[in-house]
Parts: sequence; C-alpha cells; structure tokens
Amino acid sequence: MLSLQHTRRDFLRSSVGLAGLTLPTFLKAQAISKPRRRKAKACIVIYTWGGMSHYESFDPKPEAPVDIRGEFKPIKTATPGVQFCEHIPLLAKHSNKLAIVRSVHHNNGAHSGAVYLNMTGHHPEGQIKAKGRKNWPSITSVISHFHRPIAGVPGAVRMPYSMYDNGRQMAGEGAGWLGAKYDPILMRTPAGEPYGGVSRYDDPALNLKLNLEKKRISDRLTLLEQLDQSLGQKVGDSTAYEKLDHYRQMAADMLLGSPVREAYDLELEDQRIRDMYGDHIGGQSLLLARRLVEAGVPVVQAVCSAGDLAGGGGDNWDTHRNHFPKMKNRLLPVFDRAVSALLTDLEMRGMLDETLVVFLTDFGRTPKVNGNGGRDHHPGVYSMAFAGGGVHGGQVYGASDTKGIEPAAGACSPADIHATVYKAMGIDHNAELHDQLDRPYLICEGQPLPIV
Amino acid sequence: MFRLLLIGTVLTLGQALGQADDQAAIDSIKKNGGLVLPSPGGENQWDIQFQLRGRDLTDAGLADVAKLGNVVELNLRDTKITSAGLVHLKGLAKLTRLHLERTNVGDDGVANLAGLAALEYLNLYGTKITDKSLNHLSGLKKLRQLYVWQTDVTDAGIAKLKKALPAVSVVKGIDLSTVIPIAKEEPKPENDLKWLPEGGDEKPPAKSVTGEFIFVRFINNRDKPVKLVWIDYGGKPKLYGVIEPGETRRQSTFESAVWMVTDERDKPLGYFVTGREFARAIIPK
Repeated sequence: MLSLQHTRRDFLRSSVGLAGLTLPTFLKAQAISKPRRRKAKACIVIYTWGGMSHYESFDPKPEAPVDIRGEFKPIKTATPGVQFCEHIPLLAKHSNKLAIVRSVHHNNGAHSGAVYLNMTGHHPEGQIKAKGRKNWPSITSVISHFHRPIAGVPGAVRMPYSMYDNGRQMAGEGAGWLGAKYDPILMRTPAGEPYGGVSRYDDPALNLKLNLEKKRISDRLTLLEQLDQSLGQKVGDSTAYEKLDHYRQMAADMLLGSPVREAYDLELEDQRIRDMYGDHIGGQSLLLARRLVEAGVPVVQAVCSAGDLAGGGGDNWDTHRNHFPKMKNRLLPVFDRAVSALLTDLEMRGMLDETLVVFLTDFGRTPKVNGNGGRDHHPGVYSMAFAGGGVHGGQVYGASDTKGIEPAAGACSPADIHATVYKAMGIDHNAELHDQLDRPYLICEGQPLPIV
Repeated sequence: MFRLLLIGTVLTLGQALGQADDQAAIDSIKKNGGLVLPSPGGENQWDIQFQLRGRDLTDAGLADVAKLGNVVELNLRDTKITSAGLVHLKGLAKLTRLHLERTNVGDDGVANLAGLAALEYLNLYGTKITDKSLNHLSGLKKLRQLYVWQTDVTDAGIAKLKKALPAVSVVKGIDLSTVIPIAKEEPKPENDLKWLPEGGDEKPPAKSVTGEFIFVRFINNRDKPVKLVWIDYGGKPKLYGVIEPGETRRQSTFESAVWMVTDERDKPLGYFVTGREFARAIIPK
C-alpha cells in the first residue's frame, strides 16, 4: 500500500504534463491513471487590469434604469439572443467562438486581493507580497508545470508589464511556492503604441535586441550583460540568484536558435497581419502571444492595460472617473480590435481549437454611475469569457440579475473558472502539487463549468 | 496469486517486444528533431510533432513515422516535406489530426490522404493545393475541420466538398488585402499652456496632482538646449530629458502635472502646469 501511494505521488508530480515525458515514465504512469483526452495544447490569458465593467462589455442591461444601464447601447452578436456593448462591434461578430460567463462573483473589492484571486484561484491569506514564495502559484505557472515545453522554450511568458497599483506591485503573477523555475518569463512587447498612463518596468524582462548584428556569440554576451545589469542590485539574496540563473539560462537557450527568438521578432510577420491586430501594444502583444504559442510556449499572459492603475488615471480598466469616454475612446477600441484579430488569426491558422483563450479581470463595476461619471469596484457579479481549446462557442453560462448586481443563475467563483481552464488543458483540477518543502496542495478548489 | 504474476510477466514481455520496434522508430524520429508524445486518452498511441525542432525534416524522414503505425496526431508544419513524402502516410489508419500547413505540399501529395478514414482535422493552409485536393478528400467521412487559407482553393470547390461532406467546416480565412490599418489621428493641440517664468508673480503649485492621462507637446524656442523636469507627487524633481534648440518633444503626462524647464546647468527658467486637454507648451526665447 505504501509503495502504491508513492507511485501515485510520483505520477502526479512528474507525469501529468505529457510533453517531455519519456517512454518508460509514461508507461509507468499509464499503469496507474489514464491521462485525460484534451484538445487545448496551449493557453492565452488576457487580463484586463483594473476591473472591466460587465455592463460595457459582455453583459449590457438595456432594460435597467438609466442611472444603471449607462450611456451605451447594446448590439446584436452573431449568437441569436446574445447582446454585447455597442463598442465591441468586431468581437460581437466572433460571439460564435466565445463562451461568455456572466455569473462570476467573489467578495474581494480590493485590486490586490481580486487580482490574486483571479490569477491564482485562491483567496489571499494574510499579507500577500508580490513575488512571495508563500503565494499560491498563478494559473500560468500551474499550466506550465503540467505542460512542459521543449528545451530552450519558456514554460510561461507574460507581457508587456507587471501589474501595479500606485507603485505597489501585485501578488499573483508569479509561481509562488512552486518555485522560481515556474515563474513566467516577463517579455516586453517590441512594438506598438503604448497604453497611456503609467507602466513600470521594475522586473527583469527579456527584451531581446534582435536588430543587433546576428553573430551569435556577441549577441549572447550583450543579452547576458543586459540581464545582469537589470538584476544587478538584487543578486544578494539567494532567491534572486536562483531567478537570475533561470533568466540567464533562458536567454542563452533562446539565443542559440530557439524558435522563440524568431517568434519575438514581429518584423518577420506579414505587415497586413500586424495591421489587423492594430499598431498598439495591446494588439501587438496578442500577435506576439500567437507567435509564442506557435513556437511551443504552453501558456502566455497578456495584460491589456497600462501597468499601473495610478489612481484610476491612464489607460486601465479602473474607471472611477470619466468611465464612458475612457471606455469608448481609449480602452474598448484597442481591446475589440486586438482580441478579434487574435480570434480571426487563430481560427484561420487552424490553431483555435488547440489554443484556449481566457479573459480574466479583477471584478465588475458598480451598477450606479458615481458623481465623477465613473463606476466603482463591484465583485458581486462580473463577466469573463473563454474561446477555443475545445470550449463550445456561441453560448452564455449563467446570468446576472436584471440590474447586473448579483448572479441570477449559475453563480460561480474564480476557482470554478480555473477548474474549467484546467479541464480544457487536460489537467486534473484535483491534482496534488508539492511546494519546495514537499508539502502537498490541491491545485484547485473549484468545479469545472459544463462548457468544455 | 502465482497465476496472476505469470500472466503479468507474459503481458510485459509481449509489450516489451512491440516496444523494441517502436523504440527504433522513435529514436529515428527524435534524431530528426521530432517530438514523440504519448497521445492522451489512448494506449500506445502517438502524437508526433516536427514543427518546433524538426523543421529540417525531409520526405525520407516520414518513413519512420509510417513504421510507428499508431500515430493519431502528426504535425509537419514548416518542414521541408513535399507531396512525394506523403506516400508514407497512406497506412496511418488511426491518424485523426494532420498538420501540413506552410509546406510545399500540393494536390499530388493530398491524393495520398484519400484513404485516411479516421482523419478529423486537416490543416493545409499556406500550401500549393487547389480544388483538386478537395476532390481527394471527399470520401473522408469523419473529416470535420479543414483549413485552406492562403491556397488556391475556391468557394466553388468548397461548396462541392460540402455536398459530399455536409458536416465538414472549411476555414478559408480572410483576404488580407481587405485589412485596413487604423488611421492614426494625432490629436491637434488646441491651446497653449501658460509659461510661468522663474521669479515671476504667478507661482506654480509645489507638486503634481494625479489626474487623467494626456499629452503635451513641448517646443523649445530658445537658442540653447533646455532640460525638462517633472515635479512629482511629493514635490521632487525628476529629469525627463533634454530638448535641443528648435526641437519638439511629445510627452505623455497627466492633468494637473507641474513641469519645470531648466537650462543646461539646472537653473530653473520657468514652469508649465498641464490642463485637461492635449496642449502645446512653448518655451520662450
């Protein structure tokens, strides 16, 4: 009995991620449990930082009183009976690829807690710190643990910057107790008009200078020097040192001919495809996401927002003031074009059913428009969406009530959303993972939604 | 108990013998840069991928794939295979997903796929195929997804295939010549910010206050370079850059921000306080 337990643990720890399995390990694993059949081989997480209004996106409320329904009108989508906000007209044509969830809710009205909850699937306990090794791992880190890439390809990439709230970096984007090896690699999107407002570049980011001369050795040295400089101040403690090795290794691997290097060079892409995504960092990030997935990166996260909420100023979704003009003029057009281009592109390349696209955000916005023409934080109910990866498009799961205040049907939690992602990715959401002290954790407390 | 053990041994032996053949093919595929992954949900079934490390694969290398037999997924994207190589795929009776996109495959090659009865997914985008290929595919009853973007396949050809295979979804993609780039509209500065000279009557606020994001266009009309310094939310100066004589700098900032202009030796010359709109900030002579 003891030995059986041991084998099962080995299996869960080393073998569920099928890529990178050796034949003997696989056969050993197969004797114990059958891997799940899955369609999705890669995942793209799109995070609208600050809390995207459900009213002005996937859940308009045209029947609600004027002080709740806001200034915008609903439009028809490609799915009969389903309406979106009028300012995402391109996305409305892709509704047949989308599974909209209109009934996510939680009880954390602070950005720091809400982003942690939506990125890790777990409620924060006590003081959470950015990059803390006691944190739960992000969904991207967990996916990269199970879907191992080939050598020289990062397990997870996030871009174009980390999430900050008034200068304070948020917890939830890193690998936490899974260890630095599973921290997503931060990459700077090398093109596109930046989001207005404040975006911070404090983290070491892979920022490959691809237009330098192509001699491998000199390139390699230059990049390693750049990385050393950006990490220079932090080499003192051992965690930072471990991470340095991780980045250095990745940098060296990538320079020695990994497909990732080619993927990063957006100049190699057809100009018309680049135009389709839009000459904005929001669009070019999603184009880069597609190219990274093609190069074998299992999971990519793109923050579609300025990096720092900066008190609600700038191009982020924390629209406490001037909500309607900001949504209409700055946020929704970039989002609509970029995401629609991604769905079109993935579809015509035959990649959509192998690539799960997940839209996450902190929370929704309040029903009543406040005195500054804004909407405040509202975790009581909000919307998110899935596309591709075996998820059935053209459906809406759950509903909010007539005023968009709380779930009216199919109430679900961020953990349930995570369980759904894991299911689509062929990962057992009840799998056990171990921290660096070998303590076991169940990766997810939610239940998959019946949409995969 | 003993009998169970015996059966176990026989099974293991048999498995091991079959595995030896497979192992030789697997080793050969790996030598060509292919990944051989156990396919989830099936026993001894393989998902073979050449698109990441095996892009130098040529037709000859496909013989190893044929030897492995139980291949359910095969990805040959971006490899150097041609139509001639596809003859090796003829016997892959369990193949459900086949990626041939962005290769030199043409109609002659696709003819070899006509007997792949299990095929559900076939990706041919960016190949040399025409409507003739669709004729070869019309007997594949399980085919559900077919990708033909950037090929010479026509709408008429697709319509004909759909008559034979009503359940198939054919993705032809968009015509890229119809993509219209977003017209970049540079907002026009509507007003000029007031120049508050150092030592003048009107003093600027001691620090910036956060507000909405805007742009300001600084124009240096002096005959010497100036330094552009933002006074932050705590009242501390932060250097943003140098503007050469006659030059213009487009600066992202916020409303109610205080900007100080100094000479090259950091001697303050004057200040601007941003408003709510995109504006010009003219540094006087």
